Amino acid sequence: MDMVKERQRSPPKRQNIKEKEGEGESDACRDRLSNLPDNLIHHILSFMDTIYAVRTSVLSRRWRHLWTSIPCLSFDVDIMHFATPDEPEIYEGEWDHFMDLVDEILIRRDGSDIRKFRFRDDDVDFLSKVNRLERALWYAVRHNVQELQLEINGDGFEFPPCIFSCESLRTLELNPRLQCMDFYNPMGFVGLKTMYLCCFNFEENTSGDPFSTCPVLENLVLEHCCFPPTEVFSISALQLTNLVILNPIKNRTCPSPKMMISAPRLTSFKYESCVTLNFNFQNLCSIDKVDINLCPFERSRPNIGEDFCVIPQELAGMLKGLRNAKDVVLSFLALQVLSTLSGLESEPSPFCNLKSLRLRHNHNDIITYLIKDSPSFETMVVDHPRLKLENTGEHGCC
Amino acid sequence: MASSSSSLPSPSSSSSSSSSKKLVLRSSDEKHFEVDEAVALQSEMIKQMVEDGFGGDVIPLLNVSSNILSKVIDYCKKHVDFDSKKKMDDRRRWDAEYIDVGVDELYHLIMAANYRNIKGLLDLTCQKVADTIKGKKPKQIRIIFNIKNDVTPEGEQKIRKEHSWAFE
Repeated sequence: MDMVKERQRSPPKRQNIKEKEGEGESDACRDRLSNLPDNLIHHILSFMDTIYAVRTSVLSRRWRHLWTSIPCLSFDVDIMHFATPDEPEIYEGEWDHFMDLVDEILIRRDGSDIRKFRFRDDDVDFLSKVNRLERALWYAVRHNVQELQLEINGDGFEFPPCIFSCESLRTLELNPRLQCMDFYNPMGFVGLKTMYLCCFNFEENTSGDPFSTCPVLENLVLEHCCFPPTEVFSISALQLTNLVILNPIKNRTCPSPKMMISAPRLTSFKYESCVTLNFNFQNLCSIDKVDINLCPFERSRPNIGEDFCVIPQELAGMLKGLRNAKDVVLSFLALQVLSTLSGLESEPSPFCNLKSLRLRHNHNDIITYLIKDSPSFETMVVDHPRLKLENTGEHGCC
Repeated sequence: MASSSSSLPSPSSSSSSSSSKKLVLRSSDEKHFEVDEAVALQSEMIKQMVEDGFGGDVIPLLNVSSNILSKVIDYCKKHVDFDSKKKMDDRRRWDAEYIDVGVDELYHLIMAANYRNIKGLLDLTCQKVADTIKGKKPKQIRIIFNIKNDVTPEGEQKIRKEHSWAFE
């Protein structure tokens, strides 16, 4: 209560200051931006490529050195406007200029810690470039970078080991783009909470449980990743709450990779692909939200039938492992696939605790199958045709 | 769901008819706003106050005028709504329209979002300023934001020379 009273007493003072500030100046021509405190200007400068932040140094004396202490750095090769990759000389020269720019910024900044470091480049395959980039990443690691976002493509380029032993990291996003890069075993991710990996190949991974060295990992997104088809691939993470697997790369001649997921705190699971994996969920006692988006095959993919025959069983198996989910979203194709399974009416439902179901298609038999064992089922949303039923005693037969 | 930015001259007489819990916020110019608790709790600062047991009183927001507060409440209401519906496209479109305001209002929104600690609104407003600065010549930036150039032409030349690598 005292706090509130104190707060109530002070406004007149503040207002006086404001009025004084504005004396002789109309609202419209006041320099609002420069009057913001440093931390807010830093926040603004964090939303642009760092080169633009450097260019604000000529605006006025207030702005002269502001950029040198921004905690978020972003370097994107797109700002260099390359002439064309077909002219290698110009290309390489431009690239050098880009790395010159990165060097200049890192040398001239004030040496404070880095909260976020983002780097994106399409063509890192000359040794000299690789060395300069590694030096920049070393700089980030030495300055206790908390969030690292790297989108780097280059023949034979590998993310340097210093990243994988960086203890200050909280968020890591690695995307080697087009190529599929072999994954190192992470070593020192003691504080890592969020990891996004795109285009990684886990087949050569020796331990088969690469995330066990991330004791506080909460969010994991694996996109376009390749998992070993013969051995079991484990994701065991005690603190994991969100897991997203998008478009895994599956070799059609091999059986589906066996994915062992053990995450007692997992509350949300999302899977999106035109193929299924052989999931084996363990300890999923906290699971709440599930989103399975089985999507149509790309037209370019041949032999659809060959892949398709394992999908219904694998999908049913996946749903059974997610038994405790309360809030489930299923795509049109997921329902179609389920409907191909015979004898569903006599099968127990995969879910026992459903509260809400969101479907992209209205399929009565499947709906009955999905919700029949969930006594506290509340809401069903069918996106097409648009329809919402509350407390569906009849299990949404509409 | 309450209608947009209700301004109630007398909060003490307002009896909440809706089942959800309400909080009363007071702007710097003494106007009162009754909002759903979920809407008010978008602000980390108010969340902290409620956790500390001050939620039952009128919550004074000393640095926020009524017109800015009503705009901030609009944002919070809409985003509580978006959070429940999970429609990212709608959210983006709405945000883009919402933030299409003049420099002065943008400044006040930044200050209000910072003071009330509403991360989404702070990011939205700062992103807007950043997008406005990005790729523009210093002269243009100065005009847009009324930045007084207190650097002599020679001084500016010197800075440009030092940072020649950054100015192409």
